Amino acid sequence: MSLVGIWVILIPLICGLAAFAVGGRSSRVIGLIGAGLTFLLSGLLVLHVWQSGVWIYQLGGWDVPLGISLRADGLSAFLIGMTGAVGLGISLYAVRYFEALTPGPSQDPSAALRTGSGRGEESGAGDSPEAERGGTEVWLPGASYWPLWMLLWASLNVLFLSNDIFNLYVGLELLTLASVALIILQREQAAIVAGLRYLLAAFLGSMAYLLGVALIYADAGVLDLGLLADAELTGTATQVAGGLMAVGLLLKAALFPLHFWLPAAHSSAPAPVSAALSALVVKGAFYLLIRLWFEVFESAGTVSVEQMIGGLGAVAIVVGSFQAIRQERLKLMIAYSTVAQVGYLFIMIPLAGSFGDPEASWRFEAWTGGLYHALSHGFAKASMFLAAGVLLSALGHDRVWHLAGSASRFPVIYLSFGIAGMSLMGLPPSAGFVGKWLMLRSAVESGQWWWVVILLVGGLLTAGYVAIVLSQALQHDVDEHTEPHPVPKLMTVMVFALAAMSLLLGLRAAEPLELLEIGAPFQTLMSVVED
Amino acid sequence: MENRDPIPDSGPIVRVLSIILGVALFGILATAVLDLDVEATGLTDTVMERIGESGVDHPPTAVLLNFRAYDTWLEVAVLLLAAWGALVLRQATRLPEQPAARSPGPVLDWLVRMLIPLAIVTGVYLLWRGTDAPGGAFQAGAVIGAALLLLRLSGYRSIGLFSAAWLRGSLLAGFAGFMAIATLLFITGWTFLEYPPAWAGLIIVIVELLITWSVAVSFVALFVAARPDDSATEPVGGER
Repeated sequence: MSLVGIWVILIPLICGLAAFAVGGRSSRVIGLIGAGLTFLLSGLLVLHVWQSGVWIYQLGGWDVPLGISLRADGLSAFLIGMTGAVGLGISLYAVRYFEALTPGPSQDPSAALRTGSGRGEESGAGDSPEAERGGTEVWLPGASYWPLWMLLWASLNVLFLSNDIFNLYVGLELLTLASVALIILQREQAAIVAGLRYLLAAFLGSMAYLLGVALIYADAGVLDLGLLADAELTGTATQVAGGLMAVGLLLKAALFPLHFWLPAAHSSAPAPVSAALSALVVKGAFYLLIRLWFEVFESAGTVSVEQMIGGLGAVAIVVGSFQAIRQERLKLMIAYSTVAQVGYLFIMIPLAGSFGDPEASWRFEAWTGGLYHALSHGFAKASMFLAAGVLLSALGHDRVWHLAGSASRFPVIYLSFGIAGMSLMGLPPSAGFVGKWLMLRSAVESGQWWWVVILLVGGLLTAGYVAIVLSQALQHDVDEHTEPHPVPKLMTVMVFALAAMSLLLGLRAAEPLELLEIGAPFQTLMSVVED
Repeated sequence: MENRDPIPDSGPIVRVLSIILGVALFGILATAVLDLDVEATGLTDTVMERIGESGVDHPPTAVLLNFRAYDTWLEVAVLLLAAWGALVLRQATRLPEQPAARSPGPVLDWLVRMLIPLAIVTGVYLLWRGTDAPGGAFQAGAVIGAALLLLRLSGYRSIGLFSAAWLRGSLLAGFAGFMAIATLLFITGWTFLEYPPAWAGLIIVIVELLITWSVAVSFVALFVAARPDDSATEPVGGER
């Protein structure tokens, strides 16, 4: 049981490599087994941390500072649990999604499913010159999806468990490369351009982070997070390092104005990939940032810097939401919504930071509130992107203004979209409400009323773009002349299941919140779970 | 979108701002570096103290393959993902053969015949030296990869001969082999990525050998797959 933290990294890697080695259509069987096992192991890890507290493991039997240690506290377990559940939902959806992409004997594969361009560009395996050649094996997007997706999942778990700032860099690199390969999976021009831009932005972020790691090692002589936290670093080098790492991670987490790469990358990928990118990958960089911010550079944060980051979050909420309202394509709308929702996460920084009384309980409230928001966004946004994928496969386009009347054909899809939207708005009883409520309470208690305003305005703006989609879908006059393609039921079921999770986690928030207390870097004397 | 957009010309304001930003960043980094303690040794002493338990005598090798094997293992996965990403970009399961078989002149021919065995010997030597001197899997892989590339560029068949399964197997070998050894030991009760002291040296050599091959093939795959227009031409093989 105490080794489950290793298996949660090993199993997706083993299954990913097996899917690589096998190739072809059978790779999805291995991928599914991997998804199921990783989900179970993630659950076991959560249970283990819940029962026995913080888990620490010395790799290779070498003690820190010589070796690398793994560590799972409540925060790690919380995010691994989220990744496990969202990941399983995405995997089950992807089985059917990529099945439809596999070129059959008679049909044109690119007609059945389009990723996101909706402009009739060349897509699918049809234009692949290599497919004809070689005789033995044809290139299938699905055959590459499963190994890459398993590696991406593993790299998220690597990131959440690592306790070493250099190893975290390696985890970030794995995450970036797996994401880029997945974005370009269908080789559409738009996706390749977006993927390359994403690669360059993400590498810039990684390099800034790595430069920071080098400076910290030169200054402190250790790489272990625990040792660094105890070292009370205050030198110029450490401050510069902190700044570089923060900027690099803000770029990867896509906080305004460093979000420029996100909408194109997240919207042009295949639907199961878009869902993973927005729901999970962005959270990876965010996780690392708050880990460092509140545990390693604790003393370095000043009120003005924190307020500035919160301010960028506020601008992200307003600009991202307005951009989302303006979009004509559903996938782009959802991607801009991610820009706005990432803004909420960073409101946590000034609220949980060094403003006011250092012993106050509002810090922990803001920290858990932000993380709960990340959780609810994970489920809700995955559901939304998968819903857009269903509409895109069925209708062949995702133009918002041409969805009129489609609710009668896809009642469950729009119901799920509405539920997920509720969670993004922060309406009770969704999980989004719990997160927002905790952040609001923290803002009121700490007297930072300006964040109250932005949190409320953000909810209204979110309601705006969700309402546009739903009001179009619920119109009487049907815009569609052609019969939609049939969409496998399992895809619809997964869209609904993920949306339902974002609701259920609002009804039952006590346990996840209590989980976050384990090893939390804050005073948690005052229980905040009475709500 | 066009395939080859000219790079848009940035205006003078952007250029001036870029220069200012660059100079400022340099200044900040310089201040930080000057602030560092030049005498600091980091973890060198700790490494030297325990190198005897690692199975090798060269400190970087001990750190890379034993003390921080977890990092190296995942770095090999990074390389695998990079090569795989290039294949995804081509939508290929194997790499194309050289577009047109050129006939190398006698000088090139002679040179290639001389250099290839030399490169292989150098590569293996670098790999072996890694246990007690600078060298190791990544350097050896780069040299052997260069040999494969030289063959290809001078019109001989090399990477294009690999079937899809061979190519995948070669790319996977380093990471999968490392993982298989670590997992087997882990299942039999050792700490993850811990080597039995008596076997540490042998395990490190095996792992490095596999990584060398994967590194070499990854480099060639990246080079070949990144070239845009090879796929337009039919493969020509069997001339030599």
